[in-house]
Amino acid sequence: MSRAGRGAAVLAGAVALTAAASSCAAVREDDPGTLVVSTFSFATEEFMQVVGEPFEEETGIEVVLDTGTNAGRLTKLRINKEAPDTDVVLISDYYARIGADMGLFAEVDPADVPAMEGIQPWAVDPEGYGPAYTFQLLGMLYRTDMVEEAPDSWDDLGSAPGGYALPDISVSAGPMLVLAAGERYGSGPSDPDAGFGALAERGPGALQFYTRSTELTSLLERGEVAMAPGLDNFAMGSVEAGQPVGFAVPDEGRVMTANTVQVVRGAPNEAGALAFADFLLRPEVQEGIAEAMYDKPVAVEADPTPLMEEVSGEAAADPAGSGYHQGDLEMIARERSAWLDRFTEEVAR
Amino acid sequence: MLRRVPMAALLIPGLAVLLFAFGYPVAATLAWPPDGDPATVARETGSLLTDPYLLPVIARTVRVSVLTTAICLLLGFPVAYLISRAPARWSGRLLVLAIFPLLLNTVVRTYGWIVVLGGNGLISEVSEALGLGRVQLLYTETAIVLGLVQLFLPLMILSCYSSLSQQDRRLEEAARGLGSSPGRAFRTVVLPLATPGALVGCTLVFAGAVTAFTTPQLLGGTRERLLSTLLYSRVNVSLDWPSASAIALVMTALVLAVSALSGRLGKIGSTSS
Repeated sequence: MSRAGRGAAVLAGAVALTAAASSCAAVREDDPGTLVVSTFSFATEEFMQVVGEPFEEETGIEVVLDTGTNAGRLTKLRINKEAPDTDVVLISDYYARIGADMGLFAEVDPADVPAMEGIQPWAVDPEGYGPAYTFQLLGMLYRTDMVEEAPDSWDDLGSAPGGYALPDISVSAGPMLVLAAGERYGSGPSDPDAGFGALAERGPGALQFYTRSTELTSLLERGEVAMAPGLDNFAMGSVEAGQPVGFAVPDEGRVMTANTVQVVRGAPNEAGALAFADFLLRPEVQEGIAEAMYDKPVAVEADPTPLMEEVSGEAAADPAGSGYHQGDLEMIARERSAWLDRFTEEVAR
Repeated sequence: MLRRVPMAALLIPGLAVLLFAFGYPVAATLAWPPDGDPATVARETGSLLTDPYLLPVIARTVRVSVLTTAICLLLGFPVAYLISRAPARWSGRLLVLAIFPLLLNTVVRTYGWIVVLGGNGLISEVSEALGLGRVQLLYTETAIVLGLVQLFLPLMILSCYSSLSQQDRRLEEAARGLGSSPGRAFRTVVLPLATPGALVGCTLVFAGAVTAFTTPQLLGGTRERLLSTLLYSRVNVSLDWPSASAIALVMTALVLAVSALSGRLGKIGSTSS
């Protein structure tokens, strides 16, 4: 190679290396000044306002958000399992169970998170992993101007003119509905065969299997469907905006899902992660989250907002006392692949 | 030679970026997913190709992609031809209009179709006004094809236009001057010379249709699954990465097969002309 050629090659290589190096961050090890929080990709500004920034002011720890879907974030954690760069993860309950089974999360000693003493008993994980910090209730969303009486039973699905939608198995409400249908039509929430059987009967009549909350609210607000099983927080925006949308609690088959806070096993800032979990469970922070993000609090001393009480009734403050439960999360985590195939073959025909 | 060596050296950064930012991640994703190895992926690919539920999904993906490509070609080629033959002061403006939809977000465009195709949408209302009753086109294969045609038509127009605009118009005029009818001149002169651009357009549209996710997800829903939406659920619901890799392999094979076919047709075309 000529001198000019060698020069060009060295220059080009140097440019490529510099570009690559300049975009790299150092590997995080024992990093008490920063806290990487893996969280949901919606309402991140509100989350920073009511949780992230007050936590930064109190502790001096800089909060960095890493957002994405439950599964996407779990995949990243799995890939980085040997050298995690995330400290704390906010994740739905059965994905938390999958992550715990993969060895991604650490058990939490309640002594390190004093605020756990003040949360509702069901919110404490029986296996010792991170607790729930908010929850959502499964019920029936419906058009108040198309349905004469509030559909207070799963039997009412499809009874009114106007059609209905069902949750796809890929959204939180999907597996919850299998449990609820098992409870209503079978021997209990751990009877998925009865649940799938009941859903298989209703699948062919469903207009759509929605895959995101905005899709459901859009279907309801445009009057494409009159009712659909869904989570109570899906209805809150529509109710607040004065849309003719309501939420009804079923008489039987009351299943809820929770968002949990998990400390990553081997986190670069484990102490910060525990302090963040404790901060998240304080009553005043819980009320701030409820006000800003429609997420119901688990702290006993935190009150749900008036909108939450209007939409979800007594269950907004005391879900367990109202008969709501999370079902067998271990079963959902274990059976997720089989349920995906079953749902597609038996229900979404 | 002295001039060629520095030029070749300048290719190194680009090739390095391609190798490490595209080649390696693609190979790793296809062959070594988390919790998987090449043998697992091969086993999953085998079961994917023999599963009585999944075979119709592959067939639907091919059908939708072929239909989308054919409709884009039928609609896009005449538009590209008209733009290429329009006066210079108009062709630029027409081209901008043709590719304008590319500037809109896919989700916005797709939600537009939801409003048009829904049971309470425009088509349904017109149908009811005509006494034909309400129609529900949303969440059907037709809706997916319509959405994909709108998405990829500008791509086809651009590809065909690039071939047509480079043609020497005097060839067409010469053919007509020598007694050919306009149709025959178009068939024997314009069309063969424009074939490479059309084939590139077909390859791009087919590849785009096979791999598109947002439009099939929003317009087709759970019942009308394509390989792309199936892949999403394997990754996002069951966290079954080897199975997702197998689906990605099948999608890649489909695209490569059509690309090879397109190359072969291009060679045949250039030999015969």
